[in-house]
Amino acid sequence: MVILIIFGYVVVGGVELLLWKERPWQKVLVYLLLLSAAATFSVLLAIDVRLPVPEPLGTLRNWLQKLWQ
Amino acid sequence: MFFWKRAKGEQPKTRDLDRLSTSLETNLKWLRSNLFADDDTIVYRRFKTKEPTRQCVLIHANNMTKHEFLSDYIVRPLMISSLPRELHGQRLIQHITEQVIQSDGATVFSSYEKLAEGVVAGAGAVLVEGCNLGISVDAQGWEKRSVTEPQTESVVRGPRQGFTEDLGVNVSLVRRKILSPELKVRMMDVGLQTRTKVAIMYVEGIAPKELVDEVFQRIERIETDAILESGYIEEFIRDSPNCPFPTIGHTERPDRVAGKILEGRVAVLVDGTPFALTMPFLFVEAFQANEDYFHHWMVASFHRTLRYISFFLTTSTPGLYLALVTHHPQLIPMSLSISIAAARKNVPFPAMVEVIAMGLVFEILREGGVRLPKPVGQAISIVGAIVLGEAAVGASLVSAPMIIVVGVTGVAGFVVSKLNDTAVLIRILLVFTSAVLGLYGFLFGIMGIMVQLASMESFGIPYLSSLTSLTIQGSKDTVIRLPWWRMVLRPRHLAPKNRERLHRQSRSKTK
Amino acid sequence: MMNESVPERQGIALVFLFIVGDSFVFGLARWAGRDLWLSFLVAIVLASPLILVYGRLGSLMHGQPFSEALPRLLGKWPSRLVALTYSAYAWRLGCFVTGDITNFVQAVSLPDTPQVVMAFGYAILVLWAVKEGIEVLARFSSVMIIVVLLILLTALGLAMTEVNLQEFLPIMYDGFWPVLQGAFQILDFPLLETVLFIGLANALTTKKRSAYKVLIPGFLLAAFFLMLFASASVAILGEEAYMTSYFPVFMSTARIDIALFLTRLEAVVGVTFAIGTFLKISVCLLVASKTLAHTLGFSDYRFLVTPLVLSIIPGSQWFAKSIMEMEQSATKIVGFTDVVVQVALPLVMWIVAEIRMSKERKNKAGKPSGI
Repeated sequence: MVILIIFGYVVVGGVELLLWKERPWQKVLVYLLLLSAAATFSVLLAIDVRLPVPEPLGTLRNWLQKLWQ
Repeated sequence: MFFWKRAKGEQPKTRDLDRLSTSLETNLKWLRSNLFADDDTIVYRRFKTKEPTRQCVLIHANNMTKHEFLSDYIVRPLMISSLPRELHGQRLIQHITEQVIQSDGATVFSSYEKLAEGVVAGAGAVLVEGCNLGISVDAQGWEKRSVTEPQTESVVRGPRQGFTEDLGVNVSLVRRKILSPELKVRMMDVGLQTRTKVAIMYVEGIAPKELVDEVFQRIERIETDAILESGYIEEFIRDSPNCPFPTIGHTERPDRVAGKILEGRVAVLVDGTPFALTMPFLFVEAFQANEDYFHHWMVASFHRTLRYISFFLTTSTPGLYLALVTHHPQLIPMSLSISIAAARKNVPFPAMVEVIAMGLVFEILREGGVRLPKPVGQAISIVGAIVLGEAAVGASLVSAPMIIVVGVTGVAGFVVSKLNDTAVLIRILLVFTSAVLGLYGFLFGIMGIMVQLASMESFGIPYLSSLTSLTIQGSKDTVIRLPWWRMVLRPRHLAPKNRERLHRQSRSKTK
Repeated sequence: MMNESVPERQGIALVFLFIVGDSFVFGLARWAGRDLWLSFLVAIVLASPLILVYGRLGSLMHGQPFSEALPRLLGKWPSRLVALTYSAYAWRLGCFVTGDITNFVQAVSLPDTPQVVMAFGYAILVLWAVKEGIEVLARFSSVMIIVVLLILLTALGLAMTEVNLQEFLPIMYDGFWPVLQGAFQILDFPLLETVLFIGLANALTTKKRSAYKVLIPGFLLAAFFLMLFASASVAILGEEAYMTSYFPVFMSTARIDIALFLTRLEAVVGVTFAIGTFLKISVCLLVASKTLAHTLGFSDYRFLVTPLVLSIIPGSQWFAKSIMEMEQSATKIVGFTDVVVQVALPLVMWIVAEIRMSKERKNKAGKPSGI
């Protein structure tokens, strides 16, 4: 499964990069970084790692709650 | 004089060898041995004028010209006239064109190339002894098909004229519909070998100038050997060439062409084919028929709606059937569900195989029926309907509902004949997506097609433009057709500058 | 960068479908129960000024693309920070909406199909649509709005036989608090999600027309439409069932049964849900990639689309393996973040922008050539 996902991402990335008309290195770098991030993300979920759901401002809220009490 | 100047202007470009010689014999020799070598259809008619005698020759291609015309208006006047002795060279040729030859079209040329161009296109070329110039006289005349009702677009009510293969006739057919000097016809030659004549027609003041220029530029950019049908040009100049939806319209009917160019479109007529192109072509046009405008508007609107429904049916029935039967049997009303299940009980194949196989058989039958001679074609449809249909159900190879599905698909497809070929591809796509994800797969397919349609443009105009306006005036001629006195404005996208097609006075009269 | 422009009515259709699209099947303002229509009215009143602020911000951009207008309004680095925030918000919203539809489809229609397959199907379509851009999305929505309205209004009309107006009485039996709670819920989801259109304002604004003309009618139409549907669902199902069911509108259309043939209309309603969700995910991802491109300093956004869209597949799974989990994570993240993104940030942006603009105007007025 993991191999399949990575393979899929590689194929997508490769084909897309081939289709680009010009490849400035900044764009390619950002693209590859984001794509590998997405791939890692997919793999993590596929092997069932329970990622905690992020709580932006959650600490702030906890702190506020403490202050309230 | 004008002709002379033009011929003179081109002289420096051509090589000496290409230029006519003053000696008639040299000219003829050159033609026989080089330009028209091994061409037995070229006729060289030698004759002499009255005193002072001069040798003349008329060159023309057999069967491309009107023979009586050549003999009566070129050969005879030359034979009975006496050319003044003191005239020579260009003044002699000028005298002949102005006072002897009785024809409305005559051009003076000075090169072999021009001579050949004229002769192969059906002109008669006259050479005179002692002159290094010639006269090319228009005398085109060949067998033409008469103007008949087109077979692909027959009507119950409406004009029965259809285009022929002759460009001149076709242009005149359109011109007779629009007797206004605003109607412009511009000619071009396309194709290095075929040099096909192409006429671009539009109404000045209605068609936007940018559109006309764009059409010109795109046609000019074509670099190909041969244009044998308007389809060649269509494929060269169309937008979204990889999408099966048409972005250029074609028709065999002069009244349709007239209607389209009066809305601000440009028509391209090509010599040698009865199919004229109209552009830009929008999605809604595929559902419009010229008869819509001749019938009562309510009847016409009903027919329009029917066409949209048919298009939905022909593209979607197999996909929907497959989705419902395989993924969502609970969505079918109970009694129907039971009867479908009963019909499918003895069928050995999964519904997917059934749908694809029957779709394929239907397409094969259709293709067979189209290409074969008419009597045989009928036999094929009988074989298809009775033998394959009945027998397949009898043998439990396919279920009876499947036959109905294929039947509905096929018949509905013929209603929207312009999109029939596109519909086949959409149908296949929808069958596959439905097989994977049921109703939602079907929906994915539909949404994908909608995204594709929304992204398409035809000559700078959004393909869906009339459908997406969401106003009454914008959608007056789409799924419904409002009465003529309500269609005050021309479509906004097509003729942005000159929109009013009904003048205010006539509008108040009709109310 | 291409000059994008969306005609007024297409823009309204886009906003309408964006708001209605994925929300109408859910039990909106569930806490308010039978008083939810009041919640809707309160929410509309509360939301309108904010929508005006969004519209004003859009108009201040003068039809310039996000990447040019925002630095002009806010300064270079603050604009990038704001863009990053909105990018994260839009991406998160996209994941949520994807989670909504995959959960919905699995729950009501295709229990055996893994959610990832659905999400993958959506991702491919969204990828395509987002690469085509806002104009295509607007055209798409202006055709689809006809289909959606036709289906939903027909369903509503057919369901009228089941309506029991007694369900609305007594009014405000539990006091005003639940109404307010319901109102806040509607504000957060879906009304103020309109904030994303700030990122697309350049296409909605032209020289002659400000962004209000698109945002306000779209918003009001959508809000009243949602109110109509939620109220009708309460009237059909009763308060109890409305509050406990995950998809009350879906359930209420399932009650339609005319002559034993016109049954199972909920499948068709599901179709409109799927269309609306598609549009919403596309808008979210469009904004996410545009704002991210700005954050990273690129003017072209299209090359960012693929990774972002592909990451919503795992993203939707992350937030929501099931509907129950979905609600949990929703309450976990949504609350505060959304207040910041939907209310506080636009207000701050608006005030800063107005101040900077008035300064700029003064400067310009000082010069003789100023307009």
